Amino acid sequence: MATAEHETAPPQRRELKVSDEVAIQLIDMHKWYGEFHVLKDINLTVYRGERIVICGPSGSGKSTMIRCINRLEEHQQGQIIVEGVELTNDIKQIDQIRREVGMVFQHFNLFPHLTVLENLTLAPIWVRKTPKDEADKTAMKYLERVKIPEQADKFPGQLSGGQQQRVAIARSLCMNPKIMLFDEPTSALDPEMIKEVLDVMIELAEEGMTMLCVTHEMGFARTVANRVMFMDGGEIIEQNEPETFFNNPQSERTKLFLSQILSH
Amino acid sequence: MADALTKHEPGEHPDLPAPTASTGIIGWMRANLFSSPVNSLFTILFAALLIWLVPKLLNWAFFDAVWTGSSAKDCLTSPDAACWAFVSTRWSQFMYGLFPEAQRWRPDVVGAVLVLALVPIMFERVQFARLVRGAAILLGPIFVVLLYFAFAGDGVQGWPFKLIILALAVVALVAAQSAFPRLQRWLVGFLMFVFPVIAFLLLLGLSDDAVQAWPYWLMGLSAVALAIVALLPRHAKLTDWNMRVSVALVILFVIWGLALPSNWTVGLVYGIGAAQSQGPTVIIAIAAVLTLLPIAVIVALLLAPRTRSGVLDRFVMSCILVGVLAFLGNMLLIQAWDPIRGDSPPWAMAFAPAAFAVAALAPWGYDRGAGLPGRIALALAPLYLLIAYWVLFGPPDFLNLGVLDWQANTVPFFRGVQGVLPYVETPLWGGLMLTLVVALTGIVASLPLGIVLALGRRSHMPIIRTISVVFIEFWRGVPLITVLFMATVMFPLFLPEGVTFNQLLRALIGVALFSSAYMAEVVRGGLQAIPKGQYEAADALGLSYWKSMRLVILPQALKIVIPGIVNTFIGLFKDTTLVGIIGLFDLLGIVQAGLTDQKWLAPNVPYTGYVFAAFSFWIFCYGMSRYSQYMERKLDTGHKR
Repeated sequence: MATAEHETAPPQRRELKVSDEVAIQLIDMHKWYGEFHVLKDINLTVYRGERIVICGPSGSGKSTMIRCINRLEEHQQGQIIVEGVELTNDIKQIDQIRREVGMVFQHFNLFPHLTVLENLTLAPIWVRKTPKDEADKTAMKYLERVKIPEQADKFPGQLSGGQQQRVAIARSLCMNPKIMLFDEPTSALDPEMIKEVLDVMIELAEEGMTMLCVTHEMGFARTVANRVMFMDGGEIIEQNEPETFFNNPQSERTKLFLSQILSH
Repeated sequence: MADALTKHEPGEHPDLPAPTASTGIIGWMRANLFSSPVNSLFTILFAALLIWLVPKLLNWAFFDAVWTGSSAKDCLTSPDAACWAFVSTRWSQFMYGLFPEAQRWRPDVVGAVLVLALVPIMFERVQFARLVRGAAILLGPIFVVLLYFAFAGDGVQGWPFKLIILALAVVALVAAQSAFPRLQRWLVGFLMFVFPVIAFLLLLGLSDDAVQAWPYWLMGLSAVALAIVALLPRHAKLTDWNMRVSVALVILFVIWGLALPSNWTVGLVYGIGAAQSQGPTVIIAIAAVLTLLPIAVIVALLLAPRTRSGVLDRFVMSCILVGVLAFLGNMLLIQAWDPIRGDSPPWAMAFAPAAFAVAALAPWGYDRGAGLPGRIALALAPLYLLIAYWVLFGPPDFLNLGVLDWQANTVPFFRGVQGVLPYVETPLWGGLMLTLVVALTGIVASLPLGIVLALGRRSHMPIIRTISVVFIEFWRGVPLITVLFMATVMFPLFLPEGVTFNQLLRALIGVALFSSAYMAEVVRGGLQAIPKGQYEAADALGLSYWKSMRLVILPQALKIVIPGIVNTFIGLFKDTTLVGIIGLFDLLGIVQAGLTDQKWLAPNVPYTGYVFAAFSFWIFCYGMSRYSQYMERKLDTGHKR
């Protein structure tokens, strides 16, 4: 299993390919909630195959930033370009981007009225117009990858938190996204379930998925990320390779933050 | 307690007394009826009350009641008990109002169709589908034969039978189509789109105006055919395609059948119908079977599970099969032609069904996802027919109505229908039938309208939101009686002179709009209960607004508010009695009207009448209530935390 390999042979990330094709580009992006300036002049370029971990204190705008990328939040200024398509108010472009960008939420947000399998096939059938048989097959493939094929016919409410989050990841993958956004995927989980979710994410990273991950799992950041980013007060304070980031942080705020979360 | 606290060495504690019995009748009574002195007192009091009351009620309703009789005199034989004779003599009036007696089969048929279509939707499908599958396989052939005899039947007397068979045919077809998980969806579609038309036509019948308006009927039918094509979702399954294509083409075929000069009309129905009167029976029977077989084959193909062979194979095979069978059938018909018509048959007409079959089957070549090309092909299907016609019969002269005499064929047809379904004007409608018409229309209209209004009220678009809010607040703020009064008295003032608007229709619209406002607020409650994450997840997956509403949000929201929805339904059902205000006789109204009859002036008759009305309403409302509880249990996916 992938996890076991990881424990024995940790950072292989340099061998993970990062191409020089741009996947996401945020240019001078600002966002306000009313008077409150949530995101200030964000500039970020994500290359295909990158695994970026974003951390920062709560309220720093990290979730808001990745939610802007698939238009769950609207930005007010600047440009967001995803897979060559600029996010505007044009519904078509938004839909186009959403089809390419998968998202995993803190609270899973599975559809409780549908079975696990139906959760997975809903979007492929209705958005991608995949025939049902085919969608079922793909769904089962991904359920196997997240190691819960036997739960296919259960309802989300009957699963544990970790299982639900894995279903949520599989649900996103069923749409064949080019980019995956993770919004604190393990924060709502019991400690013993965090690992099973992280394992899935690690496996995904190994396959070369472009990932943006808001998380406080610093172990994950160390082993998987090729770039770690620290945000505070709506700004990107610092970003660097994980080793440099953790061992030799540049800014005072980063140091403080790291000391707080790593101290316990 | 003190004893329990006394210290004992471990293992030294004396045995506690055995717990009091908590099982069995005694245990149950002890737990529920005599758990405390007060409880015991109330139990005894209520028992006494029941002992006093129940026999009285039973005596009133059953033992002392008058069951037979024809006037107040009979009722007076037992003045302190119910006089059911009043209800039984007026039963049919209570049910149908003043609906002409000879026509009462029509509401019956409507009711039967409604029940037939509704039951499979309402209850768990597994067992039922099996039942249907078995019935479809066993009864299918019998049904085909019945269909033939239905059309072979003679004159007006045969028509009710034919219509019943046809109505059953629709249901059976739809049911047989699936033995299959889609049964419910089809039936829902049938109830939403087809049933209202059937019900409307059957209950109202054809007025002279309607017959005169025959071009509009044809246009309307064509529009329906085109709409079926247009509404095809791009990702429609093969079976959907086939079904809809067939439906559309059958409609077009009927129109064509009507339009063609009668001596050329060899269509399935017309040919047989014409032949049966004079032709040699055996030949015609065989011809009929062979002509009907293509239909059976089409149906069979629709029913067939996906074959391993490709779509194209299926397409070619079905073309050949249908073509050959139709050809044979019509050759035989041509054999029988001479004695019937006297003139010589156009030999080429034998090819017409084959051409028809090819045209009908051409779009089958397109698999799901065919999208626009498929639609175009489908839209062109009538054109194929035209071309086939052209090739076989020479260029059709559309402008010359003498050759293509629509009127000469159509008006008699509608007159024929009118003979079977004479116009029954709505003031004659009444009783339970009217109550159900008003209530069901209100229920069916208010739910979708309410959903749209609820969504509108939560919309980000200010105009839509404002319209919804104004609509909801207006209709919620006005008493229903006022609405009905306004509809009757004030509404005509706004209409131009000479334009009239049916009284019942006005009431129906009033009731529907009124209840939709209530429904909107109930549904909105459900929408607000859905966590934001559900909307976001649906958005993030790329579902469009309407899809996310339909597939993700509304199923959950409506489930939550089932009690509220049914509450509104029940309120609406009982509010239908208010149509009495504007001179319509619903169940309560007709009972009340019966009470004023001099023949039935007896003290116990009003009680009987009101109890009967109340009980009738109660049955329906209680039914709805029970059903809502069943639905809640069924839809519970155990996701409550």
